[in-house]
Amino acid sequence: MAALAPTSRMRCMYIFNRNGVCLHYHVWMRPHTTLSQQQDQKLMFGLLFSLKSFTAKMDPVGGNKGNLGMPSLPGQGCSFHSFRTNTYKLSFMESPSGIKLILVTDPRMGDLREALRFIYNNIYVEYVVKNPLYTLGQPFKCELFNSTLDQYVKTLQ
Amino acid sequence: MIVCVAVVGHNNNPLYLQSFIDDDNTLKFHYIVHCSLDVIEEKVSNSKRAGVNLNETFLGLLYPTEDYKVYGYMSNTKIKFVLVTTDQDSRDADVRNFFRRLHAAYVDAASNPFHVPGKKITSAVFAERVGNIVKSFGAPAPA
Amino acid sequence: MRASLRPSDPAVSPAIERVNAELFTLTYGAIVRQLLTDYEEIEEVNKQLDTMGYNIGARLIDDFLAKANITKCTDFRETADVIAKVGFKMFLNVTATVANWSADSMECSLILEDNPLVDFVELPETCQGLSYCNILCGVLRGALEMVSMRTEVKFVKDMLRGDDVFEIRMKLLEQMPEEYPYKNDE
Repeated sequence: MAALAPTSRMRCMYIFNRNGVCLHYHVWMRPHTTLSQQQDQKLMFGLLFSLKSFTAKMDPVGGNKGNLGMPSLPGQGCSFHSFRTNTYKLSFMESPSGIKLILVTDPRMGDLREALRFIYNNIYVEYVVKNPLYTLGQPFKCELFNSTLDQYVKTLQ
Repeated sequence: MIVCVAVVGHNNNPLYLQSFIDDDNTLKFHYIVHCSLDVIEEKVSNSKRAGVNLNETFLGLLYPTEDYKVYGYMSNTKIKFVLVTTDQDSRDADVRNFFRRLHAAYVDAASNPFHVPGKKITSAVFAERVGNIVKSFGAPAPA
Repeated sequence: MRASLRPSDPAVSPAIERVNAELFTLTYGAIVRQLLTDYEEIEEVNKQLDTMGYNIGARLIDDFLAKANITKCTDFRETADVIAKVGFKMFLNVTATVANWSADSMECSLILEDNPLVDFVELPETCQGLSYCNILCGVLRGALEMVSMRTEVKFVKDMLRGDDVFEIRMKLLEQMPEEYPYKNDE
C-alpha cells in the first residue's frame, strides 16, 4: 500500500495484458473489497472486455459492427475511456499491443486520458518493458515503477 | 611512383603487403619492409630517450635505398604503415595525407566483425581503397 | 495506424535518446561473431538471430507505440507505412520504402538502401549462407505479433550477398483478435 495524503483521490490501478494476465495491481486506498484478489481481477478484466464490445456495438456513428461478444482488435471500433458512479470513477486506456490500464479514483476526478497515456509512455514502458529482467506476460514487481508512479499521481490532484 | 604499400601489426607481423609494379619479385619488398621495421623501432626509442614525448604518427623518410625511398607511419596502437616509392621529390604533405587516408581505410577494415585482429587483411574493399589512394597520390590538390 | 508525425510532445511522450552509430554497429557485429562461435552452423545462427529479434520486437512495440503516440493499429497497409517511415527512422535513423504489394494486400516488401547494422561488414567465404541482419526480421515479427498480426518476415535481397538493396518481405498470415481468456465461467 502506498502512502498518500488523506486528501488523495486515487484508489487503485490495474494493468492487464491482452491475455487477461494482471501484470500489476496497485492500491492506494481501498477500504472495502468483497472478492479475493484473483476473482477481483478476473471480474475487472471481464467487465472491460464486455464493455469494449458493448460500446462498439452500440456506437451510433461508428463503422465496424461486429457481433456482440465477438473478439475484436484493440483500437477497432470506438474506444470507451471512463465511467462514473456516485462513489468512484473508473478510467481506462488500451494500447494497440493489448496493454490495458485501469485507474479507479474519486468521482470528482477530471479526465484522466492524458494521465493514463503518461503512465503508459513514461512509467510502464521505461521501467517495466525496458527492464531486461522482466519476463513479458508475467506479473511484475518493480520498486522503481512503484515509486515513480506514486510520485506522478501526487501531481494529479 | 608508389611501388609498394605495407601494413604491419604491433607484433611486427605482416598484415598486408601490396606491390604496384608488374614485378613478381614481392620478396624484395618483404625484405625492404622488414628492414624498415628496425628503423622505426630506432626512431621511436630515440625520441623516448631524448625525453621528447613524440606523439607524432608520421615518421618521415626512414631510409633511402638505391632505387627507392621508404616512408613510415605508426599509429598509437603500434600498427605500422610503410610506403615504398620511386619518387625522388615527394611532398611531405602528400605523404602525410597518404598515410592519413591509409590509416582511415585500415580502421574501417579492422571494424569488420569478421576480421580477426592480428591476422592478414583479406578484405577486397580494403585492397580497392588502397588502390584508389595510391592512384591519387601526388595528384595536385583540388583548387 | 494514426501516428503523430509531428515532434512528440515531451510532456507526454518520452524523449528519444541517441546512441553512437559505430558503437551500435560494432556491438551487433560482436553478437553475430559470438553466435557463430557458439552455434557453428549458419542456419542455427540465422534462427537464433530471429529469436533474439522476436524478443526485442515484443518489447520494442510498447516503446514505439509510446513514442510515436499511436492509438490504433488494425490495417496492415497503414502499419507497413508507419513501420517504414516512423519505426525505422526512430530506431535506426534510416527510412525504408514500402513496395511490391501483393494483390490481396497481405504481402509487401520493405526496401532499405542504407543499413547501419552492416557498416564495415564483409562476409567471408565461410559464411555465405548467413543472413547477417536476420535480427531485423525477428524484431518485425515480434512487434507485429503484439499488435495482433501474425506474420512471416524474411530477407529476399541482401547487400552483403551482392544485391543492390536490402529487401525484407513481410507476409501477413492472420490477424488474431482478442479472445476472452478465461475458459471457466465463474
